[in-house]
Amino acid sequence: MEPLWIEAFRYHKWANLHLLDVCLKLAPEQLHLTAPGTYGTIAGTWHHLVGAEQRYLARLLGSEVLVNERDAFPGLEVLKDHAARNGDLLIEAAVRITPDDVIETKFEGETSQLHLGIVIIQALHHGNDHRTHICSILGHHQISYGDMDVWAYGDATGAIVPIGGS
Amino acid sequence: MGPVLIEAFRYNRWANLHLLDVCAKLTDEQLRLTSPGTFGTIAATLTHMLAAEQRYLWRFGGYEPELKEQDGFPGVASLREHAAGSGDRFIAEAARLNDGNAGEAKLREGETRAPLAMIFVQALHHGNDHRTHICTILGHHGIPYGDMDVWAYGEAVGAYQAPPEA
Repeated sequence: MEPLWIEAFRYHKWANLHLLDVCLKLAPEQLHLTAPGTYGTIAGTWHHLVGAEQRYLARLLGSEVLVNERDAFPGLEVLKDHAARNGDLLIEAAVRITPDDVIETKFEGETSQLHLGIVIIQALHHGNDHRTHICSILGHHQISYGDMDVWAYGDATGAIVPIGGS
Repeated sequence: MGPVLIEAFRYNRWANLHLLDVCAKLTDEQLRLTSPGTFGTIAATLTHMLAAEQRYLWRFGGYEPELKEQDGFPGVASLREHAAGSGDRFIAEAARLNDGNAGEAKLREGETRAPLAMIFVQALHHGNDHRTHICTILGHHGIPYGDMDVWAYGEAVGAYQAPPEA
């Protein structure tokens, strides 16, 4: 039987791709929009979100980091490809990792020990946090982004069905 | 650490209480602050977030919601008690149903049904989403709210630490 939390990572991938599809329809100048109290521009937030996912995956699975916020914005088509791959790898990590396993990691020049369970929950939190920032920016500028909560995911994937349905 | 699902709900409880402790220091006027693109005021967002948690728990059975948005804002101290209680109940449900088929819940006035895994995932998403809204409002108005990502949680619970000096 599959652990229940795998569904959280399937949702995570779906929500990233849904919101990237919304943002792919924006004009280049709209990607520079922001809103008070959020992380930054839409483009900057996506770049950070996808780059951070790859850093989490490097800790979880040893995969390669290909997106870095210090590089020029690669465009949303490129980020969407990375987000799809990141999403699959996070689902794989959710199946494979042992939460109590400890790794040594460097952060801001200091070596720390952390449990892999913390890394994978941070990946979920971080994606959710920055997607909400992007939705706040879109909402602030009256740009609709559709339903993207877990009910919408359930409808899209057929997990929510009519009573009496198959 | 426990399994990822349980740890994710421990983080959810910790983050709710952290943010409620921040909001407990705000004036009544500050609790009515909002920011473009978010859900509403800080007070309304906290009330909605925790009332929704109770409705999610109701779907697991054996629990009756006590908090409703239409009754108005009951104060941060009261919401903190509700958050601690619903946080504990989610952790218990996650422990009870962690490994395997958790069954189904009825949604939308009984017209649809979904795996209980969806309720867990929506509860995590919804809390994260609205905490981010509140942090956006606080950030917009220059009110600090401290570190409340999963790294901060890991430090608080001892799952993320500097290794001992060699």
